[in-house]
Amino acid sequence: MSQAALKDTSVDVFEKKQEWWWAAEKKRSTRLDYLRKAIWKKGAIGGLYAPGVKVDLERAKLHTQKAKEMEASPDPFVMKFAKILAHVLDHKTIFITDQAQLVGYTGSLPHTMAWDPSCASILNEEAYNDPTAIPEPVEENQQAIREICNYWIGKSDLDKMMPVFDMEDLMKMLSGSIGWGVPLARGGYSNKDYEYIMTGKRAFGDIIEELDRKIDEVDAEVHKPGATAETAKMYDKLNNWDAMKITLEAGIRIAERYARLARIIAENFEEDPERKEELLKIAEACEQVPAKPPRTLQESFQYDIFIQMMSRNEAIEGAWPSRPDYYHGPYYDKDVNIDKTLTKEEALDLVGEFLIRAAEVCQFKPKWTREGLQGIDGTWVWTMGGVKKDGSDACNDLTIAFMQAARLVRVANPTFSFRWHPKVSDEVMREIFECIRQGLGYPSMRHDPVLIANSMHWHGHPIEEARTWVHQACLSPCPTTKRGYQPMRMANATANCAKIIEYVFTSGFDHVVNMQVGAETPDVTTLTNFEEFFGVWIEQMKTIFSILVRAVNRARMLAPTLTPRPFLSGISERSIESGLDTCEPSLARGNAWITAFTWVENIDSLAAVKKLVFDEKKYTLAELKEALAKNWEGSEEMRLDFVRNAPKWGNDDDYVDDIMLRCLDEAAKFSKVLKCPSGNNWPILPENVSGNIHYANIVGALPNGRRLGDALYDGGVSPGPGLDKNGPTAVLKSCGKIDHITGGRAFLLNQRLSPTQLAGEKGYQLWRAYMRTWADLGIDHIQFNMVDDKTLRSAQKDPEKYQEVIVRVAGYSAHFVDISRKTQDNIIQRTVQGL
Amino acid sequence: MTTCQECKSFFPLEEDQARGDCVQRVKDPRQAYYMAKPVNAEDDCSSCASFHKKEFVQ
Amino acid sequence: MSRRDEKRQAYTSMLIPEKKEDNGTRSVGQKICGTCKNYMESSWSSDGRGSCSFLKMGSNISSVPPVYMFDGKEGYMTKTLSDAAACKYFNKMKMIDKDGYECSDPIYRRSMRQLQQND
Repeated sequence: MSQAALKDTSVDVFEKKQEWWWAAEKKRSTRLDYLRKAIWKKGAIGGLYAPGVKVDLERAKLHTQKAKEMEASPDPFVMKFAKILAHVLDHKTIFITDQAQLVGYTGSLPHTMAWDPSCASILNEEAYNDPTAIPEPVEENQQAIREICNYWIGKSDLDKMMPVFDMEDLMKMLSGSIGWGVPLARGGYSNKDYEYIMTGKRAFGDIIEELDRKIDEVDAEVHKPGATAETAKMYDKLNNWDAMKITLEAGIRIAERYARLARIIAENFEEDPERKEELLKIAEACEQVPAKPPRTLQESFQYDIFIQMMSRNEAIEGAWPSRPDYYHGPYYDKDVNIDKTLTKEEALDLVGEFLIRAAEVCQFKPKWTREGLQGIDGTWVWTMGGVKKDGSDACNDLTIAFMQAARLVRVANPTFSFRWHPKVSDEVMREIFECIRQGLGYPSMRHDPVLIANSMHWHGHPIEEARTWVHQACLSPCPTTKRGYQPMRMANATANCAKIIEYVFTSGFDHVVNMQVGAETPDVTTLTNFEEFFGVWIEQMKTIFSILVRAVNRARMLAPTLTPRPFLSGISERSIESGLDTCEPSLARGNAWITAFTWVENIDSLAAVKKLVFDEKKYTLAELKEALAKNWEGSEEMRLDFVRNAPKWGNDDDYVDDIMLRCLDEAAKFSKVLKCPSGNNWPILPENVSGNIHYANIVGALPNGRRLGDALYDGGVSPGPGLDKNGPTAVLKSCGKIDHITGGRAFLLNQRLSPTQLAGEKGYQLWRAYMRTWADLGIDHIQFNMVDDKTLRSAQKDPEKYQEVIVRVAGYSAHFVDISRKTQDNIIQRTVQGL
Repeated sequence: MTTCQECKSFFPLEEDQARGDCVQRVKDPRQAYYMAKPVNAEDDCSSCASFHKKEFVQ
Repeated sequence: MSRRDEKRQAYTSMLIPEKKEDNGTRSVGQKICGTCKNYMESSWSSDGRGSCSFLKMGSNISSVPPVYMFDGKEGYMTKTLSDAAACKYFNKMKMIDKDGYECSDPIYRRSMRQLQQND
């Protein structure tokens, strides 16, 4: 829209037309408007990054150069690694954007994606082969990339890990058929011990002092007369503590670099007195944090950004577990309500900018991540609301400020997920509703009492710890406590579950990747009844889950020695205390789960086979097997029979709903057989992100009537698009039959609602009533799309005019124009529920 | 040979004049910002496209 | 060599990239595995791995003479840019979709930089 047209149209007109993105542009402050438009979009569209976004060669060069220098160093590996990380922070280019009040970025310049070449050689190959992300001058930089790639061959984390995995399991995982992710401590996503590092009791300087004490104590101990096995272990502790210290000191130094830059700009370049003041405030904030605890809201946000930046300097992080209203809330209260050093509007600017800083973060990632998380760099699902450790309501003024800021800046990521409980105030619920109604696709809603009980059931977290939970990624709760927090979740415990039912028909052979991947089960045509058929399904399920879990377990056990995380350890109480790397399994209670992509395809397929083959005997398994092998070619009538005349999940139909419960029951039983290195369970968690599009050309034809190439369902326990025919209550009733405490870790549910129907006070009351049903049924999750088809189709035709239209993809939101055409069409296909 | 310390963009560290930052103004298609890159005072910048001679060199 | 060793050798060759002699500016030939109908690119990454749906594990089209295996289940693991000039089963794809803004399709989508100029 032209600036003139924008200026001439009032906010009321835009809101009446439900063009929320234009209304937001008018309502937000000049600063927020500038900063919002300053973001270089970092999410991939399909498999490629957006034009203009480039790989950050500086970071890769600094890392490689220092690694070469350190080859001859006598330091143990963990210290070498810490020194490399420190070198990058000491020498990388930093910048401060005009009008910004918060600083800190993963790459060197705003349009760059940080590239860590030490994680995986095969990721480096991707940088080399990328058609668009190599910066100018391209030929010269291809040369530089070639040299970096060549250096890290055989030296990267994955190259070190691969020989110690089972090679066959590894190849199956990396075939792209059954799983996602890499089994690496530096290639997943880390929660944090926020109860240790973010409660204002300490900061890096305090931890360094503690480390110095511990080092001195143990150093004295190891030099006393005597020697045992314990003495030898102390050497590792000393090395780990030293490495932690190196990274924390580097964190303080880079903050000082930002402070210095802010002062240089203020003293030498900036002429506006107000902006000079702001720059000096930035300098003060960076001189305070992360060395010392924050004192103000600005410093608290700045501290958080530095922690995240440093965590991303150390590892590729695919998520951002956070509980920002809870941990930053006290500073908001102090600045706005008590000391009154900030007005609400000024605080809103800071909150909005904090969202923007998070939105712009990017690290170069492999193709499966880009395609599975289209439009975003990773799932920054920020946890809001919930309860405190004593069970009382944790919502505060900052909870509301985040909702308001989100509606102004309209970033798709971070996305919020709200921990609902019966004592949430109407004021907060209205703010949440406004976000959903204005088409943000978030917050998603989580049933807090159910999920606290779930955490206690599956992983034995004590109730006070369970209550601290944040989303480790899209859905899975994880405490933020000393023993409860999970330092690394390897996304490769993510199963493409549609392959389970596919492999029943192929005896485990995958025709897309030309490999025996699943179990070599009997020829399906020899099975004579549904129980035998279901038995084979169970075997394939167990085989696939086991392959993925074995690899993660192995990597987790080796992580402390092969791929340590000195920075993350340096902000974790259990590591400071013990001297062990934070990934050491014996230090943690365990919080593992298997993400189950493409789960409902199994349910609908099993129901179709049961009905049309075994109950009605309309087709034989041989006929079905042949039709699937030919991708339904020549069998369209049969295919439509399987689509239309077999019951589908999400319609409150016990025939198929019972099959869902049986499948979950078998998975739940097996979840307790599988154990993580901490000795804990591996429950499943059905959800999808945009894996339903990524896997569309990888999953073959299935008995629910899909063909190879069709988009899969949007995931979790959501019904297939257009297949829920009996209205929203039927969907809830189907989902309500699942026990959301014992049935699995969590269950994603997408619903699409009509923006017209939910306008005004009447709309709010309709939504509240719907949510009461959801809560009463004990369903743990729900998320909403509230954008009409007309807007989405217009956005497809004219994307420039709809840059800030957001949709809920699955466990995350994305800007509609930032996802592939196929993904867009899939979202449009989802049933609009009338309440 | 031209060195960084002769350039307007060079800002030495108080505690170590042999090191400093090269601070530049950048306007990219989306935003304007100031960037800082650590350099040494004696670094050769004869081929640096951003070199602007300072009036006085200490 | 045991079957387990054979697999291990094939897999390892795929997972550890080879050192590059040039910076990739040299254009690739027309007869490479990536332009053959039988080739399936890995959907997991764009590091240039894939497999042949026609030849089986144990084949080697770079040896002189080429070795062709048809028994067994596992496909011959090869790379998108592998030279297929000597392969008598090379069957050129008529159309390669290079649109990297859609998700991977192992059978016919090739968004690798080196193939952008290739027909």
